[in-house]
Amino acid sequence: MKDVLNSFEWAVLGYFLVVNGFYLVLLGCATLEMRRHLLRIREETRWRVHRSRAAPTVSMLVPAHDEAATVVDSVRALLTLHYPNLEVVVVNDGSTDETLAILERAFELVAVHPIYHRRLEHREVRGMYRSSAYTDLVVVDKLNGGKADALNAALNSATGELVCAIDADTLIEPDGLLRMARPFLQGEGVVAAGGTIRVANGSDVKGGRVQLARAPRRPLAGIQAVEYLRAFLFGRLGWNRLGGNLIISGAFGLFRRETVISAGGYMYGTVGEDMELVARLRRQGVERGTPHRVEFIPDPVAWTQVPESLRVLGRQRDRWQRGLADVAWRYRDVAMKPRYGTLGLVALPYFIVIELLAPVVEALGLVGLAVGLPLGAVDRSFALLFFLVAYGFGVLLSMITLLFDEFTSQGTVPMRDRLLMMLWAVLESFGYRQLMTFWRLRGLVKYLRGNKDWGVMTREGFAEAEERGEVGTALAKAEQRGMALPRARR
Amino acid sequence: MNESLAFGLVAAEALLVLLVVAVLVGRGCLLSTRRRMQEPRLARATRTIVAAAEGRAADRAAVADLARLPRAAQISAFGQLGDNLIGTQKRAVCRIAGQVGLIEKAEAWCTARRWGQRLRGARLLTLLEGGADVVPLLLDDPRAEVRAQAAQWAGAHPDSDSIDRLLTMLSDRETLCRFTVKDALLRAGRPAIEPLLRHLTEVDGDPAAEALELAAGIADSRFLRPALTHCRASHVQTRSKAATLAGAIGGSEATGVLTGLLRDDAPEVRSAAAAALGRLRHWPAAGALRGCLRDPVWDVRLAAGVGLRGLGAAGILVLRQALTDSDPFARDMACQVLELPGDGALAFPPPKDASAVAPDPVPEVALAA
Repeated sequence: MKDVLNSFEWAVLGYFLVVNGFYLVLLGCATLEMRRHLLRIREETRWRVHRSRAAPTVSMLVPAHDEAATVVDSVRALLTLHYPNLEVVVVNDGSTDETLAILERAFELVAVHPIYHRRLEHREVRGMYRSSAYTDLVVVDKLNGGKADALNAALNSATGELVCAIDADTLIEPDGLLRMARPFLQGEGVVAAGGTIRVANGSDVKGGRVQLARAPRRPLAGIQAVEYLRAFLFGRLGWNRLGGNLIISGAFGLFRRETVISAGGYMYGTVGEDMELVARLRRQGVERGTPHRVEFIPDPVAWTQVPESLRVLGRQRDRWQRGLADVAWRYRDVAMKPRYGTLGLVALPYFIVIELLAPVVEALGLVGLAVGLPLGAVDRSFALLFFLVAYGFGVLLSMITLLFDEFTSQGTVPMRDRLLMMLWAVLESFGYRQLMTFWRLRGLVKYLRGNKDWGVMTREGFAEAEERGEVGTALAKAEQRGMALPRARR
Repeated sequence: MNESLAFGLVAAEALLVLLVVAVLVGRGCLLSTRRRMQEPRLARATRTIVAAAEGRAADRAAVADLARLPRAAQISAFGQLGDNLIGTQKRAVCRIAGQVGLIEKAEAWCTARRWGQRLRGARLLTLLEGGADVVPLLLDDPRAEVRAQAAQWAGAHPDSDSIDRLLTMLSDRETLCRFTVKDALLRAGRPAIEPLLRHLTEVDGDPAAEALELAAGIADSRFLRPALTHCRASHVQTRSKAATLAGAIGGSEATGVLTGLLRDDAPEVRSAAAAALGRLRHWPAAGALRGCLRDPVWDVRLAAGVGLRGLGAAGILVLRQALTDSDPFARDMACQVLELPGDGALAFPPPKDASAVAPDPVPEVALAA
């Protein structure tokens, strides 16, 4: 027994070394990317693109289901984004509340006959409307079919070269689109781009805009804020250099419309449709010999609310894990195939071995430790040191991410908030990380049982939350009602 | 892993964490202190620049104060205004920038070994003007970012040579350069017409398509001749863009060629020609456009339908006639364009597989029937 436990602990140690070794590689890549990015944007003027007739046209796709409380605020915020050729396509996905009526009143919608090329399947369109006040606003009214179905209907109706899918609870920076369009102007063959999504909890929000970015005051939101920064500024930025980006956040991502349509649009029956779409775009690009680059920009482009209750956070994370498992299963035949380059040889194996299996290894390691210590199979001082090394490395990564954030925010974050973020980074390993392991394991088990549930969506308008001065409150209220809120994948 | 190694690792990690924390805190403190100290000086600098822009004589002491500011602060002060000024105001501001040595510094950056410095120099000179001796050389820079910035500068100084050089960059291998060049030439407008005319007679293939797209944005009548010539090109994209350009200019010669292009082999060209005829409101083409309502490609049918609607009464009449057409797809498109009740979906059955996408939903068998 002792020997078995001992060898098992060595196996865990080996896994730890592989994982952290790869993190070091990602960190190096992220540093190089950050340097290049900072050089590129130094003294840059984005207003040139804002006033350009040659800028690619962008369609914002806004699926709305029972969003009467927030839809007008969200659409108004989108219509005021700084971008020269912008179209907003709202899809009323069979709402049972007043969503359509509210939109009709607020934007003076006029019914038009729908003429569009039905290249993607979706449920029946009941009507199409155009705003007489804002000519760039189109509303598609259709039978309820879920988010993927609504996005496919929006893709059919949209006319932009680029399409931008957003979550209804995302606040976009006024010049977020100008920044996000940059990769499409800079590089050949870019089919999708994403940017840094930051946590809005605790920040001052007014008129659908984050007026003053603050660090979340509550530990759960604060730790998630650090986690988001690490996922974006360390993970995805590093993958940029390696060419293995597989996730564009569903909260705010920009895609080449024609490529998405020819890849079949959004897929039904998956809880991780944003990651699935990117994996499909990349796979089909390789197979068809068409462009398939996915770029990430470290600029903060949008804000989202994160759950402030353990129950909602748990649901979110187990859903993310199910989404990851689903994509890993669907694309298992791509892994380790040299034909797919970085996608097959590095990115997918990483997501399977490190992201998907990490909670399993971590849980087994903890169980092994709990059993091994009383039996004397594991040396106490060694176990403590191992924990300190692992913990210290995690804190170091988080701190370096905060440093990256300092560079992208150009020192605009108040010192008090920066110190608070450091505190959250230090506290992350105590309890939060173990809970995360539990939720992710639960997600894996649910996936193996075939659970594809998304949960119920309930939101409160930003306006009410603003009146109370803090964004997280709206979410907390929904959480008290025991509702699950779907969130953007980090 | 032995204990001493683990101890060493923990100590190294702790040291690195402390170092990062020190950098974070130190940088934060430094920036806020610098900002606090520079704020009044920056405000004075901005007042000096605004005074110069308004045509008031610059106070010698204020200019000296501006010159003593760190470079980054100077750039920030000029950057707030430089991009929004033109003509005499901009020249006055640039004179001040010259006096504080900023233009000289930017010109030096343009010849630096590091691309980041060259880019910075070119950006600054685009903002402030100057750099006629150094920036044109950057049009051949190995870095796309620098070339694009130089192209932006050249667009703001549209003489014949720089426009010619920009036109050759329309076929640059980098998207960023092509976009910037197109944008710069569109902004340049009239001075770009003659060089663009010459360029259109010299190129074919993709560069011709890019140039035709650009010409369509300017839409000067002098582009008609090259547009009609390129309508006969073998390159599909070129014919398509030429049709769009011809449609943006008009005239009987253009409409004749465009009507002929409605029978082109490539659907992109047929679609562009139908859209162009509709935009030109060329009602004699109504019959030919009605024929396009039976086209096997949806985009062509849509362009023909919308084109017919654009013709006014004559087009509406033809669309009404098409409601009884023997071709179900022509009927359907007419019905949709006339905004009559009817289920277009009946004619376009969705693919059975949720993830499958039919490239064109018109079944050949149905068309033959």
